[in-house]
Amino acid sequence: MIVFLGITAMLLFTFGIAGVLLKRNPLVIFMSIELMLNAVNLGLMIISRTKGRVDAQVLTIFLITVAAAEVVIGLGIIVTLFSDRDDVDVDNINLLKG
Amino acid sequence: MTLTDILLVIMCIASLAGGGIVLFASNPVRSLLGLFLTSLSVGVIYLLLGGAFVAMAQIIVYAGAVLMLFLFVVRYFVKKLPQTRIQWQLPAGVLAVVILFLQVSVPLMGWFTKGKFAADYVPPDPAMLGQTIFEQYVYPFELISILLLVAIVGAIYMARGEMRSDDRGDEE
Repeated sequence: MIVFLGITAMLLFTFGIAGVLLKRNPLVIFMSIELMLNAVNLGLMIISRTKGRVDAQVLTIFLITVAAAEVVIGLGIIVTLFSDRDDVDVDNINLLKG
Repeated sequence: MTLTDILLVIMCIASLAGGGIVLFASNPVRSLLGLFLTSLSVGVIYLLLGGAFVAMAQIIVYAGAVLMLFLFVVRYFVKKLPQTRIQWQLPAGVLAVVILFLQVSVPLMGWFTKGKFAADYVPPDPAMLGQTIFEQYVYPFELISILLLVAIVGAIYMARGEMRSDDRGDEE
């Protein structure tokens, strides 16, 4: 059972990586980051269940909080970046290009 | 196989299906629904693993607040979706994904195959969880409160950026 749960967490993390690397829409890229955070939380909960410790659950709660703050800031940046453009494409964001 | 195991398997498959929808859907709203499915089923997995409080936090914060915020922004962006694609992006991305998956799975797989559920496991109740947070982990807890404050200030600053420059223009 542990193996099955572990494979689920790893595959979810890989889906997140694939979304970040292959998707073009900044919102979907951000969702993929959330997917990776979910996978890491799942791994922590598996550790909590196998070791029988409460520490991992505390860490999971902290991670959920950090993820919420991260979503607020990230979506704010995306809205600010794309509000004066007529398309959403990460490749058109080249403000730092020399 | 007990009932818990069967439910765990179903929820694992559901969360993987949600991840697949996020990855393969062409419409961002469908990706969002996939993320919703993943968040809910991961929350149920937490519940089955004995973390009732964490499961509630996951469902309220993720499936409730975060995804609602995502939905607002997705519907706010009724814009043309990106069409172009760098030619070598797909093969290079797939190669990188395979390599990264191996890097994640090879070290962890041994641990997961050897690991067993703790025999005398008592699911921690919220009181025990709160005691651990406020006795052992007070310092990270306070740090997170500062982080949330910074996030609030930053979000308000970014949301007000354009409005403020307009106000100045009117005054002058």
